[in-house]
Amino acid sequence: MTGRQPARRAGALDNIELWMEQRNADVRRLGREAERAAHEALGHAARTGQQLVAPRPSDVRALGARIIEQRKPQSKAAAPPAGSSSSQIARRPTTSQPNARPPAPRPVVQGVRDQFLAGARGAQDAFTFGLGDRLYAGAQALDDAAHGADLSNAYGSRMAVERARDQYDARHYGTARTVGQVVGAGAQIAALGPLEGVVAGGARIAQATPLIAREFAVLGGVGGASGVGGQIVSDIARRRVGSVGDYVGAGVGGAVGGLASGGGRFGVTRWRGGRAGYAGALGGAATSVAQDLANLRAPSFDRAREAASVGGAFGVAGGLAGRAWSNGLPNAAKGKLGEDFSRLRTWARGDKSTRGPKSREYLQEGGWTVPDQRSYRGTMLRDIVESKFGRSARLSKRQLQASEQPLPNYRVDHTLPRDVGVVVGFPAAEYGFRSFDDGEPR
Amino acid sequence: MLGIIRSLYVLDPVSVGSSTVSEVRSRGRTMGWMCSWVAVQGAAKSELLDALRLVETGEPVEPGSRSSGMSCAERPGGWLILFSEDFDWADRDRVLELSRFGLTVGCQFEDKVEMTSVACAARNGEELWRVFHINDPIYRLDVSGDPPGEFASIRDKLFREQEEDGGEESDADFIHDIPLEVAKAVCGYRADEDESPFIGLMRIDGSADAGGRRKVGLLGILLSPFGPGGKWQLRRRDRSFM
Repeated sequence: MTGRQPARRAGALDNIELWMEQRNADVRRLGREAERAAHEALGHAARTGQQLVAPRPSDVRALGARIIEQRKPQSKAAAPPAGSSSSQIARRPTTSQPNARPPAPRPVVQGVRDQFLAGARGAQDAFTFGLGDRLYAGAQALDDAAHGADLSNAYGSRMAVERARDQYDARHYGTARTVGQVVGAGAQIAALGPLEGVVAGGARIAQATPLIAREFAVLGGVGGASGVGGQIVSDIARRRVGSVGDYVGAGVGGAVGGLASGGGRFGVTRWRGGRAGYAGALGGAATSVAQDLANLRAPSFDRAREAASVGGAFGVAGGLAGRAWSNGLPNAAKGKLGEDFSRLRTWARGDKSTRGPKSREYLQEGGWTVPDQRSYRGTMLRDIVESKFGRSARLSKRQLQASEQPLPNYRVDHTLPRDVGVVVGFPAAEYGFRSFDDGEPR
Repeated sequence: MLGIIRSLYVLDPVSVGSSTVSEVRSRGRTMGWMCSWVAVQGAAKSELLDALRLVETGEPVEPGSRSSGMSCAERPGGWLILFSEDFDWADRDRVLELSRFGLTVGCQFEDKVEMTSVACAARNGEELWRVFHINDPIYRLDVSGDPPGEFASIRDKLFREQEEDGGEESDADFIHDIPLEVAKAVCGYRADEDESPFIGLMRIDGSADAGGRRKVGLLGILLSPFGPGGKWQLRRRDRSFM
């Protein structure tokens, strides 16, 4: 007898392990079924306008379990159960019912956690333009499909859940969600610079002459005109006439974007210009706020955030195109492009460039250099201009001599592909964010 | 902006010599220090100019001023210098072609975009040596053949100056001067040091300097990165041996 006991005990253990495996498999299967049932119910509720919510995964599973439970004695009705008050899962009153029931009181830690998750979802939505929800719903729908559900229906249900959750967050965790959206939009805009820098990046040489106040004023003016132009194009495309406030706001916002496209040192801060994404984002946000104010309505944060995001994205797209194109030009064309940007700078400074043959500038330590232009105000010589273009441009030994001598009024203009990127990207942003804005007050 | 882009391809009538219209068109307008020159030793000026179908205008010219597409001057040692405002004029083929008249030194340089400089020498259609620099990276210096004895000391001196000015981080390119100094060591000419005037040159038929300004369409402008010299062209030339 005693000799048989271990064998019997081993057999019992085997049975227990088998039972445990079976039990775990059942739990997993029931969990999936419960989730699927809950998503079907939530999707149905979203389509039919019923207010059914399950903000947390545990709520979703609980909802599904109750649906399955209710199905057992009945036929396979897809309709969700009527709301019962004991659970977090409840049929929420419709919007026509003024006394919406708030979430049941929760422990402090749980409440903080929910606030944090709502903020994180807001940040994710803002950062990904809402694509995160679609990706997540898509992945979940694929899993549902792998377990026998119809892919299209599963995706619709999952998306409905995501939308319902966003609405729930906005209603019950509004502050946390807004903060999250600010953080997400900020992170998105901050990422635009490095993204744009992937194509034909590069730094200006230290000896390059910085922009002066008058040049910034011209940038602001050109940006303002670009904003008004974008508004005109947008109005024509929409076959409507914008208000005076719309045009004032477009001019102000465009000016802000134009100023942001230039770079320079301001006190201890150095703003590295030439980034169409940033200029487009700032221009978009400023336009939105300025238009709201000029139309005597409270600025809409959502509208400004969307304008910044879309403007930034269009700015980056145009900026990348401008960078790639100018960086691909033959060297002779690049050199000429650099000279033309110098002429624009000379014009912005209120001076005129000379045409015709160049002449030498003799240097103190011997040798000479041939500057590209001389600028004049009236008959007075203003600048002796050396124009350079591209990431590889440096000063030659002679030009370094001229810079360090110093040769009076020696101005080094170093144009980079990113400057061309701004010329292409900023107008693209100015029109782009308008094409996504319905122009209506929010 | 379109005006600026378009002006890239508005060509000044400065390129002469044997450049064809299509060559000129593809390069765009030549400018400042995007130049080249050839020095030929012991050749009769008239023979050389005849071969290139050029004649002197009699006008004094400062090389690099763009007042004339080409110019020439005679220098001690029997050297005849032919200066072009076009970076591509004194390319390898040109130097080899002219080397049948005597020892020929060629030099190309630009200090506006990629800091490219090339010096080479040839005799009887055969290249003797070649020194090439482009700022990619800044210390890049390609050498082939057997450069003159002064090369090592010139290279060491300018590498040292580059290092003292910050090396890779410097905003100046001293290595760019090495080919210019090597060419000067052979024929005594360096374009940004020689102060004597040159004499302008024009084609025998006078057509180049009487030429008008030519434009290309918007499509041509937009596609120019795919064209000659563009960075996206399918068949790229070896930049070590331009």
